[in-house]
Amino acid sequence: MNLETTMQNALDLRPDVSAVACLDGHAGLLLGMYVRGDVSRELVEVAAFSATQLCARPRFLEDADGSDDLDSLEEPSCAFVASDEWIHAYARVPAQPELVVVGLAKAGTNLALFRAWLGDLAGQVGRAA
Amino acid sequence: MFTGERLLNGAVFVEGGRICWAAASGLSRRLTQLLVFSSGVDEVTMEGHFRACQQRGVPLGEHLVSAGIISADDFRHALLIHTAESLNRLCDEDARAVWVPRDGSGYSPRFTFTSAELLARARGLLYPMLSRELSDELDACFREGEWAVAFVRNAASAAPDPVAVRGDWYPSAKMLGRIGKWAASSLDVAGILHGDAPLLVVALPNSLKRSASADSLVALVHGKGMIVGETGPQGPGRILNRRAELKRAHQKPGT
Repeated sequence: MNLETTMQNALDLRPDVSAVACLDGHAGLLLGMYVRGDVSRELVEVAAFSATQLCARPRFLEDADGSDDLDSLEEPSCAFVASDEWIHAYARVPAQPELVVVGLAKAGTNLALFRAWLGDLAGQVGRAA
Repeated sequence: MFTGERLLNGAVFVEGGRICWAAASGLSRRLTQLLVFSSGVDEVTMEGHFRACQQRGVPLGEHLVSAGIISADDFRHALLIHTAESLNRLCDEDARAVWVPRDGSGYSPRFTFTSAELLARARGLLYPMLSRELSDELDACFREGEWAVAFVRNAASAAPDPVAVRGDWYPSAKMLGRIGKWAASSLDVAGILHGDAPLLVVALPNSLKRSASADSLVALVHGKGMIVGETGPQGPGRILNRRAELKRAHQKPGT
């Protein structure tokens, strides 16, 4: 199953999720995006491209760690941002940390289930890629 | 020591990388006032204790606490306020700092401060109401073993001002500045999508975890301040519930 089919099938199973996208953070490319209803595609793009800043190692902790080899440090496996209107969450694809799957849902969505679903989807994307 | 054109303006005493206390000209009676307020002992009696300690070469804090005149926490708090006020006074003036080695020791570590703790207290004195509110919010959002810092963004500076700290991990003052910059830029990016009150939660990679229980880094906007901290698995949910409670209370008529 390819990336597009994997993401579309996953979104079809979760009516409470508004959009899903996949970003290659190293190349700066949006590999796919699926949006439900009248959700702005621009909004989803902003959420996806924000991954390079929001789902990244905080630089100040690198200093605290005292490591000389910064490239060997792991990136965060996941992150999310919540506000009164939206939740957007990131999950890094296992074994391909340059790929980040992004999900967007309305505030009030069950956060734990949403994040677990996104993590599962990241696993599926890894197998499909 | 801090010196101005001709005069000695004050001194900061440092031992083992920690700040023991600071003194500034014009604030010589301030510590007495703070200790009198905290202990309930009158000023004349407190001055007597000062003199007795000087004559016997006994640290004031140890003496007052062991004699039951003031609790250790209250003494530490008074000393912290006095030191922060002295630093603000010293930094207000056109003075330069000169390092002067000094023999001897005798400061109890429990009555000394990290540079980050002192910096947050000194800057917090410039925003008294806001720093108190943010300090209360740190206590409400974080638990034992977790660390957190509150900042106020200042139009005059690229680095937000730290105004309150909580927890047992105190980064260097320089790192405190880096934490503030990271939070400000991350919350700005999150704000593009989420307006002016986003909560950001980042799972800490194993290589960056300081303890087994802390697995997330959180950053959030709270009123006119910003909060950053390290928390455990229940932390993000607790903070989201807290924000929902505050919003409900704010919307309730008559509150």
